Amino acid sequence: MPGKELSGPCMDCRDNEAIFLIRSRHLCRDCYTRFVGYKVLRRTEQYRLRRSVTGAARGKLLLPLSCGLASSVLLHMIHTQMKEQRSRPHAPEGFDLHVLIIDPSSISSSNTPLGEALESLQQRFPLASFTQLSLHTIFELVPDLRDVTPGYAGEDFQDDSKLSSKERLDAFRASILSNTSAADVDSVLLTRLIVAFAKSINCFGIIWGDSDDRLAAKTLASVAKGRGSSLTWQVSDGMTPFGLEFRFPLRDLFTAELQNYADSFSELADIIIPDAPLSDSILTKNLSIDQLMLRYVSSQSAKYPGVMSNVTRTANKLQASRMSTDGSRCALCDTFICNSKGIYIQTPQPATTEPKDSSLPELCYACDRSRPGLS
Amino acid sequence: MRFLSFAIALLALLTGVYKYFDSRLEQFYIFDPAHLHDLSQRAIAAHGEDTRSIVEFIVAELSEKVGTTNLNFDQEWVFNNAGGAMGAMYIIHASTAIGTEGHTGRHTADDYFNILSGTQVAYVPGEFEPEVYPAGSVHHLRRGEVKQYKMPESCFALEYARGWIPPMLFFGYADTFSSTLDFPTLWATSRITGREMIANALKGKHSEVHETIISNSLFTRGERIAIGASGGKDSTVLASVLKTLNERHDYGLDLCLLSIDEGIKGYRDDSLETVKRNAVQYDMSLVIVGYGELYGWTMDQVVEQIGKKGNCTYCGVFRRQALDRGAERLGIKHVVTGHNADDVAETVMMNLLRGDLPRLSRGTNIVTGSSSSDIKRSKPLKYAYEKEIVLYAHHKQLDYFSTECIYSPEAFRGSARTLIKDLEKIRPSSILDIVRSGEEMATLVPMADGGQPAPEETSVGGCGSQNGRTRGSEMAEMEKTLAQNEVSASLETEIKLPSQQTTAAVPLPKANTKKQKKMVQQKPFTKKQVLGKCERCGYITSQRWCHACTLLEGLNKNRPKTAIEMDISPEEEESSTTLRKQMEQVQLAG
Repeated sequence: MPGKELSGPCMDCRDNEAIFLIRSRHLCRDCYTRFVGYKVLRRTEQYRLRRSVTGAARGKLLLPLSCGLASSVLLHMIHTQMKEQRSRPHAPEGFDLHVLIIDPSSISSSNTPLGEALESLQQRFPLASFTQLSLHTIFELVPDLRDVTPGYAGEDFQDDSKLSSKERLDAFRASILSNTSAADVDSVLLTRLIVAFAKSINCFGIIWGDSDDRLAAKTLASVAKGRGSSLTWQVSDGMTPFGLEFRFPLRDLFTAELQNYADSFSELADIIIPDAPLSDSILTKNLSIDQLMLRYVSSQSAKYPGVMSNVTRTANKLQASRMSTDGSRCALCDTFICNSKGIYIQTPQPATTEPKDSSLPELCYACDRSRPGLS
Repeated sequence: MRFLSFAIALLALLTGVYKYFDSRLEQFYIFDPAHLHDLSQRAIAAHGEDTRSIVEFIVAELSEKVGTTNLNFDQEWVFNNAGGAMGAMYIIHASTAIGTEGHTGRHTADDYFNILSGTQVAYVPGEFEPEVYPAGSVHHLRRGEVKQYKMPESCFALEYARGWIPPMLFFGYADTFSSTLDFPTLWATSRITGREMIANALKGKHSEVHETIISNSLFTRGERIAIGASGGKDSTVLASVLKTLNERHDYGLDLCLLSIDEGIKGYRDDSLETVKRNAVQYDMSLVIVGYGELYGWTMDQVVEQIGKKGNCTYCGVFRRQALDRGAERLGIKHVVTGHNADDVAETVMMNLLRGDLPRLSRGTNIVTGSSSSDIKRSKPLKYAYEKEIVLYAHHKQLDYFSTECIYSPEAFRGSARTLIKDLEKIRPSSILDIVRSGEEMATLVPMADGGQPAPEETSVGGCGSQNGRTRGSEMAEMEKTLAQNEVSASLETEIKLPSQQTTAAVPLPKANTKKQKKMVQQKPFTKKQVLGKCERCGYITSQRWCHACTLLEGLNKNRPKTAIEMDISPEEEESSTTLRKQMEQVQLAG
C-alpha cells in the first residue's frame, strides 16, 4: 500500500505530519490534543467514573474560570470529556460541572469587564452551568469577614458600614500597600470566595486550572510567604481544611503545552484573555513574591523543566494528617493555624502601642505577615 | 586640631536594608522620621550648600535629642549617603582612636568594606585579574592605595573606616546633597540604621537569642557545650553571644571551642589562628581536631592522591563526622553551630528544589541528633539574619576571619541563594518566613523510620560547609535523571495485582515471573533503613561501613608502597593508622 510521503510522520497515528514535539514525541495535531487530554482525563478519572448513590443527584464540581489560558483549556477539556461520556449509553453518571467566573473588573479596575462573554460561554459549553460574581460578594457569602477586616488592616483603615460592599472591600484592599501583601491577601480572598460559593451550591470539590509551572511557582511562593503548611492543599490533590476537595488536573502540563492545545481550537481563542506579559524591566524589588516565583520558574524551566515539576511533586508528599494544630483557624484565610514545636515566636504584637488589641483577629503566621504596616 | 578619639558612623542603606529593619524593629526606634525629615530640611535651609555646617547642625541636634543613652559622646554617629557613584548607599562605622592597632596617623583612614551581600570587584592598576570580594568578606582598602572598584546592583556593603574620618566624610556629604536624593529616604534609613546598630545589635540580638535558647530549652544547667568554631563571622558571633548570655543569665554552661583542621595549608591555618585568638579573648578552652589524626589523611594529602577534582566529596564527608568525633573525644554531648536564618532558609529552598524532604526537615530543626549518635547539635542563631550577625560582629569589633569560599557553590544551593537574595529585596522578612515554612513543612514530612529523618551521611557529595563547592552541574544531572524516569514511567504498564489473587488462588512458584519480579523490585521502597554502627569506627550508618570509612578504604588502597603492602583486615584498620603514620615518618626521615 503506497503510504503518504511524510517527512516526519506522527509517532502515534503515522498518518499525518507531526507538528508538535511533546516529551520527545513527535505528534500531529489530533494525536497531540488526545495526548494532552489524556493527561487530564487520568487526573479526573475518579470523578468521571463516579456513580451516584441511588436516588441522590449527581455530584457537582466547581471550576473557577479566570478566562486565562489554563482555566479555559481545562474547561474545554473537561467539557469534551463530559460530552463524550454522556453520548455513551450506560456510562457512569460522572458529575455536573458548574463554572464560576469572578468579574475581572471587580478585582482590578484596569481589567475589562466580561460583558457578554458569559452568554457565549454558556452556548459553547452547554453541559456546564455558569455563574458570575464580583469579588465583593465575599461579604455576603462570608459575612464574618466584615468583622475581620478592620482589625486586620489596623488603624489606618477606616471601615464605614454605610458604604456599599464594593466600596468597603476596595478600601480594605487599598489599605494594603506592599505588592506582595496585596497579592497575597487578594489570593486569600479569591480562594475564600470560591470555596464559599462552592459550598453554597453543594459542590463536593473544586478543580483548578493551575498548570505544572504555575504550581511550582505557587509552591515556592507559598514557602517564601511563610505558608509552608498550606502546601498540603494549595498544590496537592485531596481534602482541604475547608471541607471539600481540591484537584489540579493540569498538573502534568506546562503552560507552553496548554498554549499549543488552545491554538488547536479556534473557539478557545475568543474566550481566552491572554495574561499581560510580565515585563523584564521591572526591578525585582517592585515585583510581588508570586510574580518573582513565576519569573524564576519560567526562566528555570527552560533549562530544568523536570527539576521544576519535581518541586510540586515534593510538596505533594507532605502529609496534612501530621499537622500539629489545636484546631483554631485563621480569621482571614480560614485555614488551621499550625503550631509546630520549636517555632520562633515573633516579638509579641506591640500590644502597648495598640489599644484595641482585643479586636485583633486570630491570624496565621503568613496572614499576619501580610498585615499593613508589617512589611 | 588636637587628636581626638574619634568615632564616626556614616550611615546609609539601600532601601532593601531599610525595609528589612523597618519590618521588624518598630520597638527600637530611636529617631522619629518626621523629626529627622524636618531636621534635615531645617539644616539645609540654614546652611544651604555648606555641607560641613549641615552635618554639624544635624549631629548637634541629634546628640541633644537622642541623648547619651543611645548616642555615646565618645562615638558620634553621622549619617551619610555616599551612594551617588554606585547607585547604592553604605553604612560606615568607625570608632577607633588614631594610631591604634597599627593604623597610624600617617594614613588619613583605613577603609574596610564588609560585603553584606553581592560581590564587590576591585581592580588594582597593573594587575590583570580583578580582586573579588564575595558576601561576608572584607575588602581592606588601605589609605593611599588606589583601586578601582565596582559594586553591582545587588551589592550591599558595610563600610568601616578607621582613622581620620572628617576629610572623607565631607566628600561623601557633598555627594549626598548634590546628587539625586530624597531626604525622607535618607533620614528614614538613617534612623533605622542608627536604631538597629545601637539598640538591636547590642540589646535586641542578645535577648532574641536568649529567647530562642529558653523557649526551645536548648541547654541544661551545667552542660558542657562545644562551639563549632571555624573562625568565621557566624561562629565568632555565636561564641561571643553565648559567652555574654551565659554570664548575664547565669546558664551555668561550660563552653569551649571546637575546631576542625582539614589540613589545607594557606587556607585553614589562618582561620585557626583567629580561633586561637578568640579562645584567649573569650577565655574558653580550644580543641582542634585534625583530619590527619582522625582519618590519617589531611586534605592536602588527599588532594595529592586523587587530584583537585572531586576531593570536595572527601572533605564534606570527613567534616560531617569530624565535629561529632571531636566532641566525643572531649566527652561533650552537645555541639552548637553558627548556622543563621539565611543558612536555614537557603537549606529549605535548596532541598525543596532538590526534592529532599528528609533533609529539609533536618536542616530546619533547631536541634538535630540521631538516634544512635548521642551527640546533639543545635543552632542558637537560627533566627538571626546574616546581616544582623555582620552588624553585630562589627559593632563589637569581633576578630573574625573571612572563610568565604572562592569556588561556585553547589548548583542547588547557588540557585536557592540567588532566589533568597531576590526575595529579600521584595520582602526582607521572607528569610524568617521561609524558616517558618520550613518548620511547618518539617512536621508534615512523612517519616520512614520511627520519626527519624534520613541520616545525613547518605547525602550527595560535596563539601559540607555552607559554601559547598562542586562541579556545579547537579541541577543538570538531576534534570537528566528525572527525564529518564519520566520516559521509563511512560513506557511502564501498570500491573495491578488483584488482592484476591493471594487469597483465592495459590500462586505457583516461578509462574508469571514478570509480575513476581515486579513485586520483588518494589520491596526496597518500603523497606525501612536500618541504622547500625560502622564496623570500623562505630559511627552511625545504614551500611556496613560508614561513608568516611568507605572513602578511606579507597584512599588507603591506593596509598603508595607502604600501605599497599600491608594486607590488613578491616579489624586491624585502627592500628594500621598508627602504623602507617610511623611508616610515613620513616619515609620522611629517609
